[in-house]
Amino acid sequence: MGASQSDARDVATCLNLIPDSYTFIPVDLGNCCAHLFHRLEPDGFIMSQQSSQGVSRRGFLKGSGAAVAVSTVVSSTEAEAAAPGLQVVSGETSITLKVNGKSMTAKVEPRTTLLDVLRYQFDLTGAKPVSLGGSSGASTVLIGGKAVMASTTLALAVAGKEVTTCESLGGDAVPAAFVEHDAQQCGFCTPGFVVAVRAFLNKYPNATEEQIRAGLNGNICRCGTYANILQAVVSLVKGNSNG
Amino acid sequence: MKNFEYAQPTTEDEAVALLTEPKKDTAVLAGGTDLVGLMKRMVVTADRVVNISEIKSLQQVERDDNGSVWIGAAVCLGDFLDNRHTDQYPSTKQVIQGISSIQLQSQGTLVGELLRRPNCWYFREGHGLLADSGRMVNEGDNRYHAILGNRGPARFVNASRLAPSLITLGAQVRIIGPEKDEEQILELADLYRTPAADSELENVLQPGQFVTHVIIPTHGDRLTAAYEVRQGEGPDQPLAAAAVSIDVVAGTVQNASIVLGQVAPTPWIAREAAQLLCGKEVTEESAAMVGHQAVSGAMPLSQNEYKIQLAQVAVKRAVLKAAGYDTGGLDTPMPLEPTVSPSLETHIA
Repeated sequence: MGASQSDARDVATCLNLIPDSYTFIPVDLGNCCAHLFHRLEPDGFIMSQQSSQGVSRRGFLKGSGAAVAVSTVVSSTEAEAAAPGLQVVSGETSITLKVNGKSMTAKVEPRTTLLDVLRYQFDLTGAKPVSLGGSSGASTVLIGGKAVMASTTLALAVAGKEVTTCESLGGDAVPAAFVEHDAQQCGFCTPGFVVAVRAFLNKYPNATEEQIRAGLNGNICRCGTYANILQAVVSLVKGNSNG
Repeated sequence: MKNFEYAQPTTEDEAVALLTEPKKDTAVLAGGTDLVGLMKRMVVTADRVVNISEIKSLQQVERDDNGSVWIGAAVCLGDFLDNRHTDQYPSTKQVIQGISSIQLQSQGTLVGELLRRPNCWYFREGHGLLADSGRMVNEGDNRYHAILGNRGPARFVNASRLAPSLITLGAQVRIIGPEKDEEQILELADLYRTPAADSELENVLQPGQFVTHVIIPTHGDRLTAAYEVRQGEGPDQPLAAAAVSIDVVAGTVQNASIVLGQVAPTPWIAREAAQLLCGKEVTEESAAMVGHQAVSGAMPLSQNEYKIQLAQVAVKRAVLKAAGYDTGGLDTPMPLEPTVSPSLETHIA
């Protein structure tokens, strides 16, 4: 834990992220909620609110409008309580995700992405944070069988949905083909590729080489291992060892 | 990312109510492929994000009594491709096949693609749509910026790849809000505008409004095609693009619509070029002439003169492709085995 508490406050204040009423608690980066603040991650700090009372929705809205309210503020009026579709979530709340067949609970803010939850709360670090806008494909996971980028998916938007990460594909034919064809160099893009290939072959089991190139172009490999990845996927199509 | 409130309405009415709460800067979320990245970069700093993807009425592709196909705002690109109702729109499908990334196809929505914010790097780095009234673009790197419609302060190019083809098909959009039960049907072409001031967007949507459906009329016997000039494969922005829809009777073009993409702050409707094609046969020459006409008003910036040639070729190839000619380029599969030309064979023999 290198930086001091005041350092972290300075950083956060500069970034206009927090109001003065918050204190910093240094935590161990390994199992923390540092995901709530991307920009503070390297120093491993989270923020907690001094008052244990939480804030009312009205108070929160009237206040600074700043980044964090720790309590969950849902549906303060009767009208909203009557219609679940009108509920507004603000601040931290608990959601349940079905990840790789297991029900898991996470504490999220509206801005928490699925990738943050997978990596920093569930310790599923296969999906990688590479690009802000999902242009790398390194954070690819399956939601309801469809390939999506966890980095551009809000955790709240997938509450209750089936999430499959590369960790569950250990016994799958795709990683085996990657190994056989030496389809990785540094390996950082590999989990994203493996999940994308799985989704692609589920949809196009008899894809041609050209279709493979096209369908996988949402993933980027900076080492340039494309030739071997292509061979791996072609072998899966040919070998029909696709299930 | 700045924190925000999140809501997931289940009906259109709820969505409008959530989007119109006074004094709130709201954003509409569907696939998130564009919005979430922009929020991370703090280019978009909404107070409230309303996720419309769970609204049942927006998840359908339906055909109405007139044969028009309604595509809801939560329908992703892949579902559009796979739907049998959309087989009559080959030019739009060609563009989606060009986007090709399996993640974008299953996460990105058709309506979201139409409303994608500009890729102008000054905008994406937080300098605003106009980037200091166009000064930064003029003085800086403007290789991907506008060659047409750039005489005002706006120099970015519209980011939608699907808009040109959908405009040539005569597509419309259904917009609801900001008042309860307020709804309007707008020509897709009229959804876009060139902003003249920092307070304006690249579309005409007001706070509290959002697009619920794209409505594509039945296309009859028109021939359609789209052609994109791309630097590489896939999700990257093309350098220039064109979409064409033509009515051919007895070998002669009766009616034509030509729209260019990636060249102006809006999809660029080339009316005079389309007019020029009418009454003619589609040949290499007539297509080239139309391409030339389509860019005749172009005013390149310091680094993007090359786009004039690309746009011209995009129009030419789109016209030829619509008429069934093989135009080469990225869209046509290259033969895997190198072939020896007959003349060379003779020479070797």
